[in-house]
Amino acid sequence: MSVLHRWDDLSCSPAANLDSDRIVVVVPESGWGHALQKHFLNKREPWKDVFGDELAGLREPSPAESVVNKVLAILREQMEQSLKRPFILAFEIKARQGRAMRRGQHRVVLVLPCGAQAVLGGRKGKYRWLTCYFPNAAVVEDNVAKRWIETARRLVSQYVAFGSFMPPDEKVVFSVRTEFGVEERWKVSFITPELWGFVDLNGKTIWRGRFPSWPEAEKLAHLGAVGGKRRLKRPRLALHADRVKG
Amino acid sequence: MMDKNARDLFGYVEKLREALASPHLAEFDTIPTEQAKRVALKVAICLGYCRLFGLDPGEDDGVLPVPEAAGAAEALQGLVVETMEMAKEYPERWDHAQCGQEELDLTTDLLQSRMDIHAAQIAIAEANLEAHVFDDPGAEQLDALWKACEERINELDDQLQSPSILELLSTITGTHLLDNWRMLLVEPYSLALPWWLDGTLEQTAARVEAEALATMPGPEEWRRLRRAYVQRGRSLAAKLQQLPAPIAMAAATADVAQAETYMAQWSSPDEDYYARTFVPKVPLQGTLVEIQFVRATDEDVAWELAGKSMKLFGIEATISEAACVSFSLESLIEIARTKPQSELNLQVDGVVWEEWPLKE
Repeated sequence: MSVLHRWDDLSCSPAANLDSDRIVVVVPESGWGHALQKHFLNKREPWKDVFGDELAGLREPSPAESVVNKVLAILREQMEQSLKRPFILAFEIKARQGRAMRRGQHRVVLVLPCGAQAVLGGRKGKYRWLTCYFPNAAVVEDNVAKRWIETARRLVSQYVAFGSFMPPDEKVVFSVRTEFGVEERWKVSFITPELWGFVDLNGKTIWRGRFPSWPEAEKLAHLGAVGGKRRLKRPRLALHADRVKG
Repeated sequence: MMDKNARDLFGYVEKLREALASPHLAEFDTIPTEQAKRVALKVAICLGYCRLFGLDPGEDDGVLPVPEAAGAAEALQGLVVETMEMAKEYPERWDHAQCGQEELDLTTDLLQSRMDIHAAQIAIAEANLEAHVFDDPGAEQLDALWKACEERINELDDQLQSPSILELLSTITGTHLLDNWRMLLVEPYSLALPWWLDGTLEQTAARVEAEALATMPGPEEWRRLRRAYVQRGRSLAAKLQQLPAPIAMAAATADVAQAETYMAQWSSPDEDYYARTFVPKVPLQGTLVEIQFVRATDEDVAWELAGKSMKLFGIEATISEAACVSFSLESLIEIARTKPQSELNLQVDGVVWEEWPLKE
């Protein structure tokens, strides 16, 4: 594994359950190359709002080291905000090859204040950067300060059953077919539940979909001008039906 | 009385309110820009979700006026084209995703986009019907735009339901997403489900899973493949033979030595345990190679192996309380270069463990 960069001391809340209040994250060349080509330079994803003018530098055939370092510094800051809050989804995976299940690994999905999500793999305070991207739900949200909410809602809708609205029990297994066979995800954990919109109701943790504010995300806000509210037409078909009935 | 909007888990009523407050909508009094049409589409999507999920927008409820509906229909065609582009790139992007979560999100992106289109369809169809019944000015133009939209949406559905894309989309059934959408739908929309919610994806997933189980190689085949890789040189011994001579610490930064590693792994014959180690690509003098024993089920430390005897390349040791053993890297390199291949293995209690192909 060729390493592009290494963060030796990312601050992390002990509540994140990552076995340390400082974690090591290694950014391999492969993970960086993927994120750069498939996401940072993807015109659909709003990285300009995150990297500003540095994005133009990333578009160069061989981005300057200074540009890469500035972008990495921005990403580090975003990841630390998520780790310190902590606002992460963690789970373990086992990959099935043929009929055999193999290799347990940890995955940590960080919801960043900018609305993107970073995925790390590893365990016990040592992690490898896998990728970082904006899910489409965040891309279509014009309000920069609210993109993280869309990203979080999306993750909840994947892993929380709306029948009970409770976070998955750690024994619940999500079997997802992947490129290399079936991946079993378990011990799915929303850290910290109340920041994900879960509330305590009579001793049960229930998802209500109301997210508390995140000041770090608010800093990115550009709410735009708000004018007088436009009204929709009253539905005349309904009114007509009422008149006919009356 | 139960709050109807307690079901507004995605905040569509609030999003509708925000969209209606956009100053761009005032452009529909004259000639709307593309931006105004996109805002009208947002209104249509939020209003459509309110209908689908039985949400009460309160004073914001109503039907899209004809100009806004026409603008939303035009923007919807743009969204459909964009989604077709996403669908075209989807298999290639799925193949190159870095992890299962990224694959899942690519799939969710596409289905969410189709669901948004579905919601917009409902709001625009409602406006089209009303304009037609009451013969509103611009009704014919709206109807023409609506028909063009429907044609495009049919093309998109044909593309999404092509076997190769459908099989990838069916991977979403491993999550709660589809069940959650079905759970939120109210009548009449819950009675006539669109194709991505009517069980098509679940059936496809079940078929693919059955085919995979019937045709995929079993554990024996994987074992044979691993052995072939190891025999072709993807082993710890082969790599140690190629490593440069260990250098003094003063001659290298610790970063270089520690950051780039090879991972070697062995599994017990019953595959209940793994032994794993990381070897630096740039060996330093005095480096210790630590073999960690873990359980295959949960990757936790295999405490129960403590005290057992083990050998690596013939060097004997006892597994520690922390289920690990350390060896001098220089000794291992020396042995790898001198001993016959047949002795360069890992044993626990005299039983040889299977080596996995070395990972870089």
